[in-house]
Amino acid sequence: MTRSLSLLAVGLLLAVASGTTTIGSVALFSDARTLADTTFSGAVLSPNPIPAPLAVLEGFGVRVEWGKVTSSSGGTVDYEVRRSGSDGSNTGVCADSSSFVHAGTIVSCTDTSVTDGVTFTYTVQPRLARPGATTWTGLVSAASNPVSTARIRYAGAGALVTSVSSGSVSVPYPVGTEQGDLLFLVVETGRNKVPSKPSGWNIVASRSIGGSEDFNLFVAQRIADASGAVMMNVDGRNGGIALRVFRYDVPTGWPTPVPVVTVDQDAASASASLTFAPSPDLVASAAGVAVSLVAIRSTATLDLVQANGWVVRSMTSVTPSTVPLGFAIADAVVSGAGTVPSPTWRQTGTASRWIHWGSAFG
Amino acid sequence: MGGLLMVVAVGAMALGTSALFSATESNDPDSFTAGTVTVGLGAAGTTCNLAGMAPGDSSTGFGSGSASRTPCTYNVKYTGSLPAYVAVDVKVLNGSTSLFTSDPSGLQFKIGASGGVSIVDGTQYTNAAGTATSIVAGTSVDNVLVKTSPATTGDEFTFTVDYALPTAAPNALQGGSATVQLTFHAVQSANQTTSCVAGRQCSTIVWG
Repeated sequence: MTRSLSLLAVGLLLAVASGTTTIGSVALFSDARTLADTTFSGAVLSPNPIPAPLAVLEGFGVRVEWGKVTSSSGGTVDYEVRRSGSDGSNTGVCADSSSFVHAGTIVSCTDTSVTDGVTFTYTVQPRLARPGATTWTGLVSAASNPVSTARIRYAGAGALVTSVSSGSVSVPYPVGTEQGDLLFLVVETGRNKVPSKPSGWNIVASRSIGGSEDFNLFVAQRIADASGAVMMNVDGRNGGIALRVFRYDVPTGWPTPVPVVTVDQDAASASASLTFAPSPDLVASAAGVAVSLVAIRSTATLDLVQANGWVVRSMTSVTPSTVPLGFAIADAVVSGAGTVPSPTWRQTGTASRWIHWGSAFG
Repeated sequence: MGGLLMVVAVGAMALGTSALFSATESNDPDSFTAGTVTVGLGAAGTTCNLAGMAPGDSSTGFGSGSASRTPCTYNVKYTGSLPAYVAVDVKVLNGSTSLFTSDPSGLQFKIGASGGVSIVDGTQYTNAAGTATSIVAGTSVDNVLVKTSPATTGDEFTFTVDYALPTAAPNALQGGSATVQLTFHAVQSANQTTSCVAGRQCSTIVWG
């Protein structure tokens, strides 16, 4: 610490404890002290880069999630999320930081601006942003898994209609139905009786089980018109009949959904059981949403014992007359061409036979 | 006195056949004590290790930016017995990634000494000619006079380091680091003539 201690003397040098420095004929007393270092370090982002985000189809959007990044400055870290499309597009998404959802160490946002028929990947870059200051950024993550957007989204069920007589009934469309939406009409009859085809609808399934526990599942599909209801001639005698319309929303301007499977699932179980797994699996030719409809001759609760990515959207149980009726609808996002693993349905009552129809639309 | 021999109390000396009276008187020994030029620490200051600086961060006395951080202060004391000129050397060192860029985009300092003396302003010091000159990282800026007149025993000096990372600090400074070293030193003022003023480098003083 002491740099030197020297003596100024002209012709006379005096001995001093820490030595003498002579400059020409002049020597000087001096001393020095180095003070503690003052150290500075700039903020760093960690981890840097972020591991590749995960992209998950969610309705018409894509939820992108990634690991939280922290800054040694203690400040809030924002993110720039970019989407690359198979059409060559490269777009910033989730631009509003308020759209980020923070859940522990996971951050996510949902890209609701995806377009139809394009496969997307996502990257995330952390940003240390302060108002009026240069934004410090981390490295851009690797690209997420590719996702293709769904074309339809479950949007609700219409009012349940039942009948115990023959004649015309009106089955209302679900609230909010808009022209262009995809509708499914589900009719369960408490005996082995096939309903007549309503005007403007396409029958996609009509299957009966005979014998002492007979019933029928009828499924028709159409693109919604402006009528708001379907008029149908039914025969609800000797067991009753239950009817309901399910709606799948189609974004304005998107193409009309079409089947993306060559072969539907359309079968009845060979014997009574508490569970039922449709087989074989659907094979999709493109991204879309797969739909699974089951009916049983029971009012037992229907759910999925093995979901495989499927979600039960609605369950109906009713006894219009003497026969208990139950049906349910589930769907799953299909991210692209390939096999769609079937769910395994379960009912809580006594073992019974099942009728099932499944398909996928995109 | 001719052949008269006088006996004196202080003694006799024989020369040949003669004897001479003589006397001497000794003074006390002469003694010389050197003055001292020494510096020591003053009261404990605020030693700084400032991590995680982001664009816009600054200390309370810098005058712009967030003014959210605490300045660093270092207290020293002149403890020598001789009047002495006091100066400070300033050296800025960058880490493997620079934080100090010698320009307005990087780390800025306001290093002041007691009495309102400015040692460094931004990235510049004042040379002996009075010209603001940029500090170069790794090169020591020597002998910036802290006080125009000589310090005397017991004089205390406080060095305050205010700092800022400008809002325009580029991304390249992320994770950078820098260190400021201050060396306070003194040299006797006796037998030196100077016209140096505080806050400038002084080259007319022989600093030893």
